[in-house]
Amino acid sequence: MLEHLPELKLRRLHAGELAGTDGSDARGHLSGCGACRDRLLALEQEALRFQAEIPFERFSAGVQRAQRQSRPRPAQWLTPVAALAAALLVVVAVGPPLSSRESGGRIKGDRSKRGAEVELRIASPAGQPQRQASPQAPEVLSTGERVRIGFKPGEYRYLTAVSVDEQGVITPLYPETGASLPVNEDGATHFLPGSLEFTGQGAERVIVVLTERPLEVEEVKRAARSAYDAAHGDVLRMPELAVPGGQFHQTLLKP
Amino acid sequence: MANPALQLIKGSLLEEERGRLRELYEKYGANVYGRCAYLLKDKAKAEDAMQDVFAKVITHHSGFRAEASPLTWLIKIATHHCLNQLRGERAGWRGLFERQERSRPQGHGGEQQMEQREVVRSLLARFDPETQAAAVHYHVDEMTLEEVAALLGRSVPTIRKRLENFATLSGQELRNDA
Repeated sequence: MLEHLPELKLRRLHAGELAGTDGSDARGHLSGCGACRDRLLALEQEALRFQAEIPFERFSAGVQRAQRQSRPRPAQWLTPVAALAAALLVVVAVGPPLSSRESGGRIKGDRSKRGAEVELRIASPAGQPQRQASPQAPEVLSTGERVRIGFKPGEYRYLTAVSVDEQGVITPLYPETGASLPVNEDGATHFLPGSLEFTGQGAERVIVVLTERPLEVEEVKRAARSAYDAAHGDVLRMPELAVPGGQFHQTLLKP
Repeated sequence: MANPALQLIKGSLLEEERGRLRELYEKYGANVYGRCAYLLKDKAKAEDAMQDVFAKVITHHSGFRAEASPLTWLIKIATHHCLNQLRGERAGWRGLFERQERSRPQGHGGEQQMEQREVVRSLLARFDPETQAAAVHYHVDEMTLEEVAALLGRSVPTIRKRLENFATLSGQELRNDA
């Protein structure tokens, strides 16, 4: 049992959040407890120190900058993808040439559908050699690096890709709305159009779902939300999504 | 005909947002910055993290206003954000805690409380994310088991188990909050 006001309660009182019985109890305690009055005074001083160290204008500018950096992903993709929603995917011939692929990420989920593979290919802005993200560990991205999603659908016929950042923001990547993209198997690895630049900081998980029937993007987003919640917001530990088909997960650590 | 004079329209979105931001700054800025500085032990990183947290608040302002305790929600978000950031930095944080073990603690609750805060912080890297968050809210914010469980959306027995695991290493016994 605490003999003094708990830290958070004292802070809430200081912020003017404690009303009713809680507030009157806390104030009653304060009137008879010098230690807690000292702590409340220290909170006042802490607030003054903070405002002296980081004036409002600087705070405001920083928050606005952070807001710009964390805007929803579609504006951050380098190539618009919405127009491709209903199109059959074909090998993309734009962008930097792709070197020969190493072993791709195996698809988890429906084990009967063999032959499906997904890989993330990463290219630097300086034109350095491309690399493939290792499916065994989070991939560290450097500033300006772009990512392309390659896939070999095997026996699957539809593809949906989303990402989840550590704030729980779920961004549909391919397609942005509607139903999954139809894909064809021809034995080759295909790359989704456009390269992606992940802005902001921290970890972001890319999930590619391959299915026999089309899924609504909203269904995949809901499953991603449930998986994020099940992992208590740790994108490094998210379980598979509760959707049919096979799925590929890769976590990226943004610069 | 003369050009119409420019008028400042009161209540514009920009003005409203700025007013909201100032209120958040004055009421909660020090609390959020304090939490970020406590976990990250780096002023520049703490300021960046604080800005990220408030950017999220601005983006989800309606949800924020609906919270029974905006401060509790902010502390949760800030804690979560910083713990994630430390995990993202991976190898760095265990060494960081060890190197900075002797640095001046930031707290306001007397020597004993500051010591406890530092012990908790120095051990976080050894635990899973949920235990980390539970330990910070329980030992640093001094929330009850029930409050921590409600905040993290877990059952009381689950949180108790997490904190008992934490206690085996930290020597921080669970309180009798009843």
